[in-house]
Amino acid sequence: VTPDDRRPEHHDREREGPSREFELPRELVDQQRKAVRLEWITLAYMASAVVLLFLTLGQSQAMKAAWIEDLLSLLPPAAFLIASRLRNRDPSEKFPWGLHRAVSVAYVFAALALLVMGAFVFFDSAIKLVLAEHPPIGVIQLFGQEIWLGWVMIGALVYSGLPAVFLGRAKRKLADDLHDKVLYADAQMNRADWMTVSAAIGGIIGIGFGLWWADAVAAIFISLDIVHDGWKNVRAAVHDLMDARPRRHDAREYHPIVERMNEAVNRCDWVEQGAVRLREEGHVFTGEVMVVPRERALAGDGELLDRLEELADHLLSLEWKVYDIVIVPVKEIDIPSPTMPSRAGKSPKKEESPA
Amino acid sequence: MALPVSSLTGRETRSHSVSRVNAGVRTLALSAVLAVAVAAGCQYPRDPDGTLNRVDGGVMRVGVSESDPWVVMEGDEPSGGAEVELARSFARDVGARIEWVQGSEEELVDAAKEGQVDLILAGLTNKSRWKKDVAFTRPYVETRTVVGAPGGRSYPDDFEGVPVAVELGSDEEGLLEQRTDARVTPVTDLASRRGEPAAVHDYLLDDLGLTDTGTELDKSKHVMAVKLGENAFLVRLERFLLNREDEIRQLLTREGRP
Repeated sequence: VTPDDRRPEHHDREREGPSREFELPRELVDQQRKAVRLEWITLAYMASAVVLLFLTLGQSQAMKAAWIEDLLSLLPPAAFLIASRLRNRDPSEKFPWGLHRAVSVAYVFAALALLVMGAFVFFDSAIKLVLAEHPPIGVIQLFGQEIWLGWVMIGALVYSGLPAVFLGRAKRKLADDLHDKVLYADAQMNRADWMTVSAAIGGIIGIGFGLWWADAVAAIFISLDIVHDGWKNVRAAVHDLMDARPRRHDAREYHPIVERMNEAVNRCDWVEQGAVRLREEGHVFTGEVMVVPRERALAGDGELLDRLEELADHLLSLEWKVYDIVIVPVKEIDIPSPTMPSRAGKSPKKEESPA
Repeated sequence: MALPVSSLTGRETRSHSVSRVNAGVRTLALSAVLAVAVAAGCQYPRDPDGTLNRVDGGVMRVGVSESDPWVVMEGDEPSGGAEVELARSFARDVGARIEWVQGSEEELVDAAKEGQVDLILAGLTNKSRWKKDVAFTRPYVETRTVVGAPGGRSYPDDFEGVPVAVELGSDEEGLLEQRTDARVTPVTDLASRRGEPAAVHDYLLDDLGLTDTGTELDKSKHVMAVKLGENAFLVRLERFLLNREDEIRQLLTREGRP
């Protein structure tokens, strides 16, 4: 048994200043830094929007929903930033595997925030419709001018919603590069943000035309979309915690790495049969490789150990996300693995195609 | 980063931007409609139930509930009160004839919900519990309850031991007890103790020959109420009430005279 628990060679281990990014390959360290900056900006901006909405329109029922949404959208950036701090910590006695999973926990929070926001918008709007709530919007005096409060509300909504369009786009791009699920969920949160904001704006304009139901109807349609996104992310987050087979960061399909590693293992001439299983630990993958060595590979002194180490290095070089693997020589393989000939009861299910 | 990743991303980004374009088109269309409506001089905002259009040159049903000095009743009709006077001149402003509806606050709120009453006058404040059932105007006047005393005399901190008159059974009586160390002296008629320290509404100070000592017991922001969502009517009323603080204070001094 050769547990390869050192940090792999190919991962640049030179700690880069205070950020100590050893989870990421060097070319992505900058992206990560950008993401952290973006999340700080989001946090600061959304906090300012929360304060603005509270100060100007906090007591108005029609704006309360927008306010709660803004409050919820503080959660994913906060989760991301906290996880970014924790995940690079060295393993300790208390946390022998390090704190990579902080990212998985952050993902659960971000995904839940998205789902809760969708559910909140849905129920809030449904209640408005069922009770036939007619939102009152009167006049406000600003700088000696009396103006319809509706215009002021629209202004505040634009302030809170417009930057979300750009922040969301930028985060999505970074999430794709970094394969970062928390960032991805946050990008979806921003998308949800500006969509509900435009619904609210449309709703206020509708209210001005005497259509009291306008914003509720618009918001219900949008809430379905958010609930769908939220549900997908919560599911993916829970799957990650249950060590499900790794998926891409946007949960669309399985990550191809397991198959690639399987292929690489089974291509080795000294391997009779091999199987790989990986799990996600936050940002990175870890797991076991089981190999049944051929007879001849078992002979010879120490040769097997060399081969195992060589194989480990090769496998780790396939994908930066694979952080740590353990190669175990065994007599028989008893774990399900994607390209294994299926066995009764243990064959992996066909890949369900996620929405 | 494997290839399939970027190709997938590409697809998704495309569908994403389509929805963005749709949203953009929708917003544009809305603003266009809006611009046209405003340009055409349409009423904006409008009432879902058309209250403003109905009372304009027609009948405005005003619910009243006794609340001296805001609404003073004599039988089924109000005989005076600051809010009653305001409602009369608002009715003249929109060209409406007033039909008075007398009832308790709750009766009036229920009637407003069903659209049977257009405007409620009951000395309401913005802290009222009907907040969610009817639409309040912005506060049109703020009144304070203060400890008033004849000018030129000085009093110990918190009026310790000083007899301060207060109307019997009013909330001021309790507030005075809580907030100061004064000797609370409940009376039925404040005017009978003119010139003595008293806890009163600020608009009564002059009449009682008192000045504000700066000790504030309470503050209330007064509002009127209309049916929820009748925004054109609400906006019209609020515009009428804005910047009338002085006029309203005069009304109060006159109507509130003890």
